[in-house]
This record gives sequence, structure tokens and C-alpha cells, in this order.
Amino acid sequence: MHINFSDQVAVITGGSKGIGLSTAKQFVQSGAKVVICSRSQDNLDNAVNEIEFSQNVLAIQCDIGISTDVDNLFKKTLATFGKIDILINNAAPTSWGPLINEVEEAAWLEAVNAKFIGYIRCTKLAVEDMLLRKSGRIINIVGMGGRGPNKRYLTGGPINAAVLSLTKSLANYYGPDGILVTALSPGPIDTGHHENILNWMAQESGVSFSQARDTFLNGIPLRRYGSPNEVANAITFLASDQASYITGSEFLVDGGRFRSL
Amino acid sequence: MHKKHLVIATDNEFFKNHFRDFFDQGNYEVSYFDLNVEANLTDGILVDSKSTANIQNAIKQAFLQRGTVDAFVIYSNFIHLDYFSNNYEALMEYWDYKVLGCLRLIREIAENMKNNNNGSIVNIINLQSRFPELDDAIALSADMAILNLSKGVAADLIDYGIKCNSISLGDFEFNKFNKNEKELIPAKRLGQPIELMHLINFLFSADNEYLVGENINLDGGYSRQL
Repeated sequence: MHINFSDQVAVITGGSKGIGLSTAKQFVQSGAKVVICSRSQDNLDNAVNEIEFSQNVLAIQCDIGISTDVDNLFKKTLATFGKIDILINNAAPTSWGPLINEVEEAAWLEAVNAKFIGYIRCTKLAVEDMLLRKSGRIINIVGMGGRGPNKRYLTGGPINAAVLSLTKSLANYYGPDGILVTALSPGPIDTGHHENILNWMAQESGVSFSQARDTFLNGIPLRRYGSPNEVANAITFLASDQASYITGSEFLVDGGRFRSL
Repeated sequence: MHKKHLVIATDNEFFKNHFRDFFDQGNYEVSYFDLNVEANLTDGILVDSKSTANIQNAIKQAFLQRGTVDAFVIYSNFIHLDYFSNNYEALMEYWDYKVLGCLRLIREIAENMKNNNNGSIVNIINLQSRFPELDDAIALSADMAILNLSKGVAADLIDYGIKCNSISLGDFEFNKFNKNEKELIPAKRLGQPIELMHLINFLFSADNEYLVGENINLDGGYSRQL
């Protein structure tokens, strides 16, 4: 698959680690100018060191839960690269574990602000610029919990479901303006976050961590975790000209784990 | 004969009145939680869904009168927020009121139901959350969050004999998101409130033992997708 992002400018939130960083690397390799943001300056510094052609990368410390931070992110992007063609909304994973009577309300609301509202903040500012050229791509990284509710994912699940609905709304509205909006839900990806879930599963089932891991992997048709790079491949495709008739859709990159229609 | 005690939490006057007409008689006793002071609902217990303490007080009031609760229905759609507004504080408050409020209400009511090892909870959302337009995106995405929440908690609460399900409401006159698209509805008409009440009644009844975490489209066939 040859993707050419020459002259394209992409903003990737949560771009300093995991899926965001893998995506940034692929975009840069394909010729894009990339802006990555993260709350952690250390993570940004490490990310820039990892990316080849780092002269095409702008790293900006930003918390998308804070409006002034997001304003600053887009102002600096436009001042440096002049436009925004692609926005990858990629927020940090939300907590897994609490049952309904264990949910901490303040943390729950903060997660709404950091993901659902954060995606809206970034989308509005990116769309302002995309409308000038009647062209753009927005890819919302969601998470399987949106489509597959879980009693121990009462924070991330509802938020992700809301992002799916929002994605459809945005795709409907901005389709006539040439702005394509899609969602991508990674399944179990080898980023380290999944250990927490396996610990809960082991505890609930009264089995060892490795037994829980084996049982979990047996539930995935491909019998393995995905890699950040495999998710980035799909993001790169969705952002490219090759996906010119895909909008409002949700891509599941999950090794076949989600089995229902 | 033991009358069933139902609790309805809503900010929709028409829904409340239809609910009253159907349930507030015969074998049922109903407690009304009025969710929004600006909705001008009358004669219920005014409940601030943003406050756990307030919900707990309301439950105490209701249960002082009725004892335990057998069934609970929640339907909230009074507030409309514009997607294009940049008032993110209001958006947080909205989620606090509607989605986290729903979680709080279910959690607190379920605590009572656990004493009986039995109960039924029904969340009502709008079918249009599956066909969202950006103008209504804030409300409809919150509905989708509630659908996810409803299915998520169902798997937990069934351990206590509590069945949690949801209904996606299609074109009904009292539904704010009614598009009145009769020509697109295979049934060629809007839904009648009595039809919603019959479905709620079924979900509340002993006849439903195995529908758990389900979402039922009550839409005259409008939603044709798998």
C-alpha cells in the first residue's frame, strides 16, 4: 500500500506513545508534516527522538481537557504549517475496573472532559480550517467498549459509545463539505494497558494471570494481541486518498474479537 | 394483595402523564421523581440527579410511603444543548445531569432492589441516537452513552435478580426527537403512548425473566439494520 501524504498536515492528539506514536511515524514516513501533542513534555521529547525526519514534527504540550491548551495547539499548528488536513483524535484510555457502586464520580466526569469533550474541542478547531479548503479527514479513536458494554467499563464504555454517535453526526453534517469523519476502535493491543484488565479477569475467575491471558487470547480468532503498528496501518489508510468514500463508519481493528453483527 | 411500587424519574411531562394514566391504578403504586425544576413538573418529588445525597433523600421519602421498589423507569430529554456552542462547562453539567445522573439513580434504586433480590429497571432513550444529526448530537450521543451504561450494568445487577433493559423510542408525539417521518415507518404511523406503556409493563412483569441488558426498538419498524 503506497500512501503519499506530501503537503499534508496532520494533528495527532495523544501522539507521544502507543498507537498515536506509531501513527505519527507512519504519517511522517509518508511525507506528512505532523503535530503531536501530549500532557507530558518528557514523553513528547522521547517521541520526537524516535521519529525519523523529525524536522517534519512539531511537538506541543497540551491537555485536550483544557480549552486554552487546545486553542494554543491549533494556533501553533497553523502558525507553523499553515493548515490542517488530518485530525486524529486519540485520547488516553479510560479506567477499567469499577462496578456501578464503585465508580468515582469526579474521575468519571473528568474522563468525559478529557475524551468526549476533548474530541469536540479539537474537532471544532480543525473543522474551521478544513472548511476553507472543503477537504479534511477526522479519525476518532474510540475503543471496543463503545460497542461492547462491560460492567467493569462504566466510564470508558459510555464515553466511547457517545463518541461513536458523535462520529456519525459529524460525518452526516460535514460530508457535503468534503470532510470525512470515521471512527476506529482498536481491540486488545499490546501497549501494556491490557494487563490491568487481565488482572481483573484473573481475580473474578479465580485463575492465574497467565490462565486468564490464555483464555482471553483464545477468544480472539487471531489468538494474539494486535500491535500499535497494525492499528496505525488502518488509521493511515483511513486518512489517505484510498479511503475517499468512507465516512461515518467504524473500523474495528480487533483480530476478529467482536463477533456480533 | 401486594401492590407493585414503581418509581419513574423523568423531566418529560407528557411521558409522566401517560405513565400516570396507565400505571397509577389497580395493582401499582407509583412514586414520581421530577428531574428538572425548569420542566415545571408537578406533584412529584423534585430530584437533583447531579447529587447522590439528594437522590438518596428522595428515595427515603418515596420508600417511607411505599416500602420497597419493584421497578424503575428513567426518561430524560428536557434539556437541549447546541453542538455549536462552545460552552463546555454547560456540556459537562449536562453529562453530570443526564448520563452520570442516570448512573446515580440506577445505583441508588438498585441498592433497594437488592434487598428483595428482585427488580426491573428500564432506561428509555431515543431511537434517533442511531441516526444522529449534528444539531441534536449532544443529546443523542448522551443517549448512546446511556444505552451502553444500561447494557454494562445489566451484567452486574442480574446477579441480584435485577433486570436492566432499555427501549429506543421511535417517532412518538411526545418524543422531542420525533421526526414525524410516517412514510419511512413501515407501520405508516407514529407510536401510541399506550404501546410504550405495554412494553414497559411487560419488561416490569414476571413474564419477563430472560430479557437482560436488551435494547428494544419501539419504532414501527423504522430501524431496519441488524
